[in-house]
Amino acid sequence: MNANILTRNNVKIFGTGKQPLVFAHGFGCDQNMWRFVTPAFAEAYQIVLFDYVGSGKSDLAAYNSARYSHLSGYAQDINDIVDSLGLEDIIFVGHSVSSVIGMLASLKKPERFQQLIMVGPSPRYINDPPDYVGGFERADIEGLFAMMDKNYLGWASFLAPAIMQNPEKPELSNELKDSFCSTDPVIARQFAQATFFSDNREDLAKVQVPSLILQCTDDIIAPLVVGEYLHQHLPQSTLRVLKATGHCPHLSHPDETITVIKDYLRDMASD
Amino acid sequence: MDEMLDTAPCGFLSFTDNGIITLINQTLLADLAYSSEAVLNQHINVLLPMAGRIFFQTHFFPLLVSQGRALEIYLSVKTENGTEIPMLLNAVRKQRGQQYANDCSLMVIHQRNEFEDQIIRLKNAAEVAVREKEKIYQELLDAHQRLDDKRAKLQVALNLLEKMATTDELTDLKNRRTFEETLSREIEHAKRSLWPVSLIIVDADHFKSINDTFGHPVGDRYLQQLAKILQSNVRKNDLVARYGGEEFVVVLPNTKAAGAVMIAEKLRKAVEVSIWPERPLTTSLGIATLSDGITEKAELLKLADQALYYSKHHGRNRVTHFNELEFADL
Repeated sequence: MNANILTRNNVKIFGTGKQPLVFAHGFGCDQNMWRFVTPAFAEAYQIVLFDYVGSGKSDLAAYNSARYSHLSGYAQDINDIVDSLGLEDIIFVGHSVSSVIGMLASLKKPERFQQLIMVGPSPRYINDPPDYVGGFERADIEGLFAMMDKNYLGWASFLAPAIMQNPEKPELSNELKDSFCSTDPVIARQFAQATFFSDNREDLAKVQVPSLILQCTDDIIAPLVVGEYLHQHLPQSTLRVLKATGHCPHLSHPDETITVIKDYLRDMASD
Repeated sequence: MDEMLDTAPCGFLSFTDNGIITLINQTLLADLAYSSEAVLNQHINVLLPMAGRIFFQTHFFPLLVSQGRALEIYLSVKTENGTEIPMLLNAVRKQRGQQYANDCSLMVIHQRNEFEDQIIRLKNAAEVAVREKEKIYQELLDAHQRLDDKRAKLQVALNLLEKMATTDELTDLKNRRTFEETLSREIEHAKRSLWPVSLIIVDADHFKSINDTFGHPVGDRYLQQLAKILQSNVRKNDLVARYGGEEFVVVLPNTKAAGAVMIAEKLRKAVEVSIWPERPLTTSLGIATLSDGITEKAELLKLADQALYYSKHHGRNRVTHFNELEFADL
């Protein structure tokens, strides 16, 4: 076990089961987002939670622009944790971009993964006419970056780099802690770029692990056509369309999310 | 909705976890130029441009659910005719009956947005300027380095040039020009300080026949050896120079006639006892010392030369001070 990795990625382990159920958060948040879902699995599984380097309570000092400018850098975080804990027969649950990150991790170590559960996944966010609809134009993504600049105090990193670590002003950092999970605007921007400019369509056919695609109704981030595209191109995939709307069913509709995942795992186990 | 909230000086709306708008007040409807029928029971996406929808799903909603509130969120909101207006949003999440309600207050921030746009523009410009500055600074450092390199090379060349200008190439002694300068300086100094200064002229005996008999390369080796002997037998502040041909000069600052004779004698002996390649070499030496009657450089040189002439004509391999000449010749 490598304690450095566990600290670096703020790894939390609980549950009374043996088989590891690894939950990976998406862009813009941290492991907290799983808290409505994990208790339902704690009895039967070993729950593993973590924050990607640059997010949540991870070690920001371990952040490396080159590594984390591509989703493969984040996938390496997962495999580092898998190695440190010696995890096997992993059921991986990834939200949004983490679905694809988990998929990339499984391409590196297919023997360690037993199931991939993808919540609102997309192999490519930007449309690629004439054949592929991802849901976004490049200008939409640029608009997102502009909005992030205003919400992440994008200016702070430049005009007042010390503002986040200012020990004389604890009230400020406490307030900022309550705002976005990752408060470093540069890191947030890079994660956004790595996410929204990614294109992993070519990797889908290589996946050897069975997968469940959880598709929400009316998900602006991952529209239904994207879910169907994934289902067509991912070998051994199952597509479930949730009644839940939006992009975060584990937050907005945790009960339905839990039920669908449990049903799927039960079905797979009885096969 | 009570009337106060309906017309409060800030917008208000509430939406379910499915994103369906359940309440919206008159103020917000007026800000967005919507009728309540067009918005109520619609998905909140109708109010958001594409970037806003992504931000809502990836940032705002996860934050609101996990923290129970979301404060000071910047969002761009669409009016009915499609124009986007900047709004500041605070939201709290509350359980009402079986359902969660997400209550938001929104304020139009046209002016503040202008400021922020300006700050972001300035920040971007400042970042560009900083990068530019770093680049220029690096270029400056490189230029400095190149300048230093050039300067070092120039210094080497200057040192060489200076050596060439002041040194005799064959013997590595100071050359005639340096001798002339040094002697002038010493004479000036001697006059001001009333300290004595003496001059020795050293001439190799029968040197022409060495050149004629053994060739010029051997003659050159004799001159080099003679230069070394002279240089190693004077004091630190004495100056030995090659005057020309086989003639050498020694400037002796702060040295009276008697001292000069002693040094000259030492030089003569050193040459005589030295081991020479083909055949022994001797020198004739003439000395003059600055005194009340002798105050100019040319005079001093002339008198030392006369003393040397005397040595040459009285058997060579000897030392003559001009003082002795007064008794001998006059």
